[in-house]
Amino acid sequence: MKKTLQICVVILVGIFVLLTVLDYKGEYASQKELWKINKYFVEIAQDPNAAPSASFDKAAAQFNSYLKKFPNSSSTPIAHILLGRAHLLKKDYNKAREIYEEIVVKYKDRPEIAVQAVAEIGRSYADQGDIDGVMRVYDRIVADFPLTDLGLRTPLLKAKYYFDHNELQKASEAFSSAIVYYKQLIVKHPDSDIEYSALRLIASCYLAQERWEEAINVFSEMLLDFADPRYLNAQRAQTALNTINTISIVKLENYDLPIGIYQKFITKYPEHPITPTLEGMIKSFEVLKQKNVQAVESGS
Amino acid sequence: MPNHAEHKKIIPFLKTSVNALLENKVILFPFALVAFVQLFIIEILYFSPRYPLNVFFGPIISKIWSPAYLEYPLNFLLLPKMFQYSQMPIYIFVSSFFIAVAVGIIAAINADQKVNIGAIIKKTFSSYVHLIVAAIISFALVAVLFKLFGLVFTRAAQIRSTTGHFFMIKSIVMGGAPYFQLLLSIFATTLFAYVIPAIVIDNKKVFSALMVNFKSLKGAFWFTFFIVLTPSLLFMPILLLRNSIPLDFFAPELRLMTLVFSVFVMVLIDAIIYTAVTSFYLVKKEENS
Repeated sequence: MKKTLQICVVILVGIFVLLTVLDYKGEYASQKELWKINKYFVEIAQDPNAAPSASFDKAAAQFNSYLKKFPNSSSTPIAHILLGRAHLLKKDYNKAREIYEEIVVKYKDRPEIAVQAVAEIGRSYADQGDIDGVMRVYDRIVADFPLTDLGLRTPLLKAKYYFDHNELQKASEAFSSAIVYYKQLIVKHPDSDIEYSALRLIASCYLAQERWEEAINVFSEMLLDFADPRYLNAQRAQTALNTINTISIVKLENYDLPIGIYQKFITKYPEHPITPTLEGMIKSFEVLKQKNVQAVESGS
Repeated sequence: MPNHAEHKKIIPFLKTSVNALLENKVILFPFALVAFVQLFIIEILYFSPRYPLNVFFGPIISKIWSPAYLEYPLNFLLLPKMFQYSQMPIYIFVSSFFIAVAVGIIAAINADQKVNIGAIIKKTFSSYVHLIVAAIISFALVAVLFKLFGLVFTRAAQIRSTTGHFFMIKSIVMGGAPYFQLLLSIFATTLFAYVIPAIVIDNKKVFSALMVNFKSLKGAFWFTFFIVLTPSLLFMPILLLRNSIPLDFFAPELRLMTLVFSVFVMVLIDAIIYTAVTSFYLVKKEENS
């Protein structure tokens, strides 16, 4: 009996040791180590001004040792970015930018990582209040990584940055330039994911500029040309419809505009999952329209 | 072993059963083997996101849940769930058999016979099919009870009130779900408590064992219920711990430790319950003969 139990314990311990050793420097081990370093980093980063400078040095040392131990893990780029951020929070901007430039070179074949490093450089300039520096970084992103998610959003972000810093004239110009830029992208990449993203961004620019009718027309184009559920999922459909309805009722007081868009959609896609919703909306708009006519007649 | 006259007293009866366990550690042997199997499963599941086990488990986890659960620390969220899924086959094919072996050992001790584990295992194995069927029936009842509770839970989740009686009902049902499930498991265990002793001690086939079980329960249902309930309360701290640990509290590995600890507690609870239940079955049998 005792012997059997001893064998059981040896089996459990043996398998544990064996499986631990087999994955000693593997993906899982790297994720575990990064999680632990990052936990410490998140704690000190919550209030960077209160944390002593030495704590960021300690975090940076931990990230450096991680990068040496796991040079090829899938988490390595994240650790590299976090290393730069540790210097950024320590306000050692030059060192942070140096690290981010290293990342851009190291991951030149992986634009989604490289663009994140460039964005962090922009963040360092923003922390220093250097608007020109931020703008240079925005231009660099658009030039070097135009088709990444961030690259696509950057012209809009640039305009919003001016807007948030109360430079309204520059913001207006940047929104207009962004619209022109996105329209050029659509011409270059028709019927693609890029066209869809560009349309969404154009709509955001029009909304920011309060060009309501043009914004609705873009939403209409998105609905009619990108009805595939890959693009028009439940959440996106709801956002688009809510925007069209709100602008039509509140800003334009025009009920025929959404009715026309939804009727076109139903004719083109009678079997689409959102068709019943649109039919209901058309009825609601008809009622609103009726009430509005009665109100005007009784008023006159 | 206690006599029938004492059987109405639950605590002294359980105390005698625990003493019997401590004096005859051999009874714990089959339960230790169940613990070994459970720990082995936990070990495999714990290492499933890592090389080399991820070669097999990786695609399965990615397909059923999400590839995110192969990464640290999210794998610790999935671990208890996967372990729970493994419990059905373990109970039906492993636990029921070893509980039956433990019942055989208790019967041998009660009859002042020398405990020959090899012989008891061999004898129990001849009733393996009946044990499996009995375990399936017992598990099916638990599944049905859980399903019914699931309906109540869904209904409670639909309550929109944020104050008053309905909100109180919602809070009790939703917050107390693990405890209600424990209570339902205790009820199901009580309902089939004497099936394994009947199969092992009286060599009954599964359906006659069920009849004997219900006969034994007649007039002793609440006694049996409390015999099962009292040791099961040891599981409450685990439930409290399991439902209150956030993933980033101290270390995600705490979830693994809780799971390992729960295996030992469950095995201990089973050992106490089946020692007590078998003792009671034997006392009743002696009195009837």
